[in-house]
Amino acid sequence: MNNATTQPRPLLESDLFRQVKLTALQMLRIIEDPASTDEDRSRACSTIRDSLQIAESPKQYGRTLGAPQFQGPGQGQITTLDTARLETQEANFWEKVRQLMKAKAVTQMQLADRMATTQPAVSQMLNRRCRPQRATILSLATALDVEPQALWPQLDVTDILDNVAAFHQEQAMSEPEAEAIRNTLKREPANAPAASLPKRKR
Amino acid sequence: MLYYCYLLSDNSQVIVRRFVVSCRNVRMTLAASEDLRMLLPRMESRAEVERHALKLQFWSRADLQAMDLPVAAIPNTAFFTATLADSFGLQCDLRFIIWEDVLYPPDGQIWILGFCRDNEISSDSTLTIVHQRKAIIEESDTLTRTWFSD
Repeated sequence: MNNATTQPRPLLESDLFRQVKLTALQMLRIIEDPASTDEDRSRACSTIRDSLQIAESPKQYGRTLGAPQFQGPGQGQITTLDTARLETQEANFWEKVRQLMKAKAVTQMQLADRMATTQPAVSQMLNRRCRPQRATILSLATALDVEPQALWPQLDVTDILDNVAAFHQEQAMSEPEAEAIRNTLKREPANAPAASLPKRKR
Repeated sequence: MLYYCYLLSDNSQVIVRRFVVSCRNVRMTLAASEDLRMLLPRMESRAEVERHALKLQFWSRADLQAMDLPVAAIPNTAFFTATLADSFGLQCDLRFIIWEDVLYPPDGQIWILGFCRDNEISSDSTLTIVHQRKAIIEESDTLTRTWFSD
């Protein structure tokens, strides 16, 4: 084995810190700019961290998707178990689509027409078994005339999560809603006597 | 490379040259991972986004879609954006900024440089950040080549 390929050359400080310095300066400008958004400031901080990372190990910069790798302390790890579960979901979905196409004698061309897309796109999705977007599931369900949940059973769960998120993201109460609550609070309590309940038989 | 021949309605033919790309690596910067973690704290949601992003391995510059993922170029830059309409409990869609490293052998590779909400207005600062992340990747390549070459 050639040592020259494994042993790094002596590091030049100028090489090492040129990019780090440049990045840090530009990112600090963004962080200090009062017009910057919080998101941009957060991104600028991550970018400075990235520039320090290349100084440490340039060969291992970034990570390849689909390959389970450690993401860093506190960032969680997408395990092979997660990946296997997602792959199973996708495989089941496309298998169901294939079965329905066969049962209903629908060709790829017909499916593409119904989904307003092209046949190569349908073919690619069927063969690659990629993860479908929500719109794709709904569109395929319509095209094959089945309920979306029949193709993707987890769709309801996603709906619930979306609704919960929508509820929590509501920032302010609208004026009609506030007025309705005020009116309810102002209303006198009803003085009607409680209905007499029939006596329990012993 | 593949050549498609289209027959138009007036019987004229158009030959379209199209680059066929093999399955390429889709890589994500650490900063992009951090962006995603800020947007989607649930690991399961992040795993799903990564599965969607894997569609980019079959995408080429000429395509406006990577399977069911719409891709658009950012004008006057080398970057593209892909929009993911699965909301994952967010109020809006997710957009990721990608860059194709064409020099990477043999067919290049796709880098995901950052994530943002689709309704977020891209400012000059956002573009500066993305440019800088691209520069980090290039610098990392240069350093690797310089240090580990014979």
